[in-house]
Amino acid sequence: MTPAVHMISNNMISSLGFTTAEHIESFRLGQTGIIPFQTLNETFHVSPINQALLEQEWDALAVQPNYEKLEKLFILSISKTLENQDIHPRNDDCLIILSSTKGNIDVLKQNHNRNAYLYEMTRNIARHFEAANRPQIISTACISGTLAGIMAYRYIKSGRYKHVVVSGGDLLSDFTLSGFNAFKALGNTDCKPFDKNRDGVSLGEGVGTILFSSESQNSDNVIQITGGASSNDANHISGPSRTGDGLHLAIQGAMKQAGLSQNDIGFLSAHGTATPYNDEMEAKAFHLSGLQDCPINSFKGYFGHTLGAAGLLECIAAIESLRRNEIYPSLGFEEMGVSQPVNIIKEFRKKELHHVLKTASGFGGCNASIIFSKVS
Amino acid sequence: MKKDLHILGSCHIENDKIWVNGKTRYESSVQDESPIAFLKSAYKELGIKYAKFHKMDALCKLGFIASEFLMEGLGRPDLPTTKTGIHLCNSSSSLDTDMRHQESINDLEKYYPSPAVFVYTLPNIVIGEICIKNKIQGENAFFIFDVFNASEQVSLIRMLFEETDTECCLCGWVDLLKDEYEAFLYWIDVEPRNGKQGLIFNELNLEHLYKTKKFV
Repeated sequence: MTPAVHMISNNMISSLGFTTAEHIESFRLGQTGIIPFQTLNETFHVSPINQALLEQEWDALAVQPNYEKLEKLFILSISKTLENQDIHPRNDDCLIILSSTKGNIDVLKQNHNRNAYLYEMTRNIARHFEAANRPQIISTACISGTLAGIMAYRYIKSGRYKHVVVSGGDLLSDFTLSGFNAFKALGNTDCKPFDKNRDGVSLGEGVGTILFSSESQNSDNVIQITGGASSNDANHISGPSRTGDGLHLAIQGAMKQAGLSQNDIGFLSAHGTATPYNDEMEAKAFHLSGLQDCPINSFKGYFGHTLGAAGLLECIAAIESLRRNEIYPSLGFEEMGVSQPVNIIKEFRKKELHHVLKTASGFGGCNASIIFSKVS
Repeated sequence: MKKDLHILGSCHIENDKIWVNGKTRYESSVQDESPIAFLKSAYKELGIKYAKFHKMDALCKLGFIASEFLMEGLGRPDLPTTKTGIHLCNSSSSLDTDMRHQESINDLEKYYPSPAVFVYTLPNIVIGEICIKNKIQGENAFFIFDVFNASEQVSLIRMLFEETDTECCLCGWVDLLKDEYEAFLYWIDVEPRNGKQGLIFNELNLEHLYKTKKFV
């Protein structure tokens, strides 16, 4: 029999806090972690992690301090996810998969720092957890986190591993700020996904971690991954598709795998970066997929675009929606700003949910989508 | 029972030399060329006109050239575009271009970040470039490893075919940092295509192909 893939535990770290519960509280209250921030002679609207809190959390963990900032965040998030669990990466039935676009990008300025290599960072983190298996790291632009979740699904479903810890992380850095700014992709205000006045991304930083297992735990609401797929637009390396057909393909792939149709999806957590072209492309893809009436949000208004962490942080947010039967407003949205209208969530409310969909798209024309289902 | 997969073609590029399906296909007449100069001469050898090539960074040029020679060796088959995947990996990610972008922002007095450089600061852009050229729209993933490991590759690629509708996949290693580079691309198919039987896709055959460059 094919094993099912259960969500066992998770952790979110961003400007909103160091626990998933703090994030849910902010979603309910509609509170953002995005703030104005001065660097590179300009003011940007970004979502930074509180450095003092990070040091405090790190000290509480009481481990050797010779880790880079992002490594500390990964170790903290994975440690919190594994708290009170019998499952551990030191056992040979458990795999660690990381996702990151830029890894320890803050050390790139220093010549000859090996930690700038993504696999070096991965190994440092795996070593901390005494991982039995060679860890893996996915670096596939902004779909990295979602893709890591899809890989966890495949590893467990195919019987290769019983348990997979997936953790996605990226830092807010002058590297990405200057690059997105050169692209004119940054907004002049807190980001406003799908809104008429949206003018670009707010960058953020964070780590999201999920423990998946073929073994379910005794609980009223068991959450499983039931489908996942990726695709490419084959259109442009930095411009989103004009038709949305690539993202549509990834959504179709995940739905087919889950054996679901569009009417089964109760909530869709979109990528929603708040650039004019991205949100337009997504709206078209959701129409192609028959999801225009499905309640949709983008979590970017809460903690910005966290790049390689985005997929996992937003998967966790979607999982918690599903578990709690709650949908959260798409922060920053006021007036429909895409040519094919979609059903953007304006306020926090209770809603009975059975299946939720998370989508992501990124540079290089890549798209990914994953479905979580609740089994009573 | 799980069906066998087949390696239908391969392309190696290293030390200014290109091997396709185990045979030397192109060798530069110039000694110790820069990677960029070598890739430009290899592009001329292909005899194609593709303006986008000239805009690519070095990593994308390497992956693109390898994919084009691989496709040539396969006889440029008609592909089931939505069921064709691209699964690549390397160890240096996009560090070669990351360093260029970093240099452009190190000094606020000489600050000149460029979108044309920044877009290449992700390793999967090479997948995007190959997808655009060949209209490939299937599964996409870019992994980072310390070294090429045949057993990890076989496990990942087999899993892709077992768990998705993928019918064929361009796989392999594309790594470039400064003057060091290495590409090893191979084509995996559920069945022989264009009359090519190829090799059975397993760890032994892949390791042998990678190390000896012999397609037997």
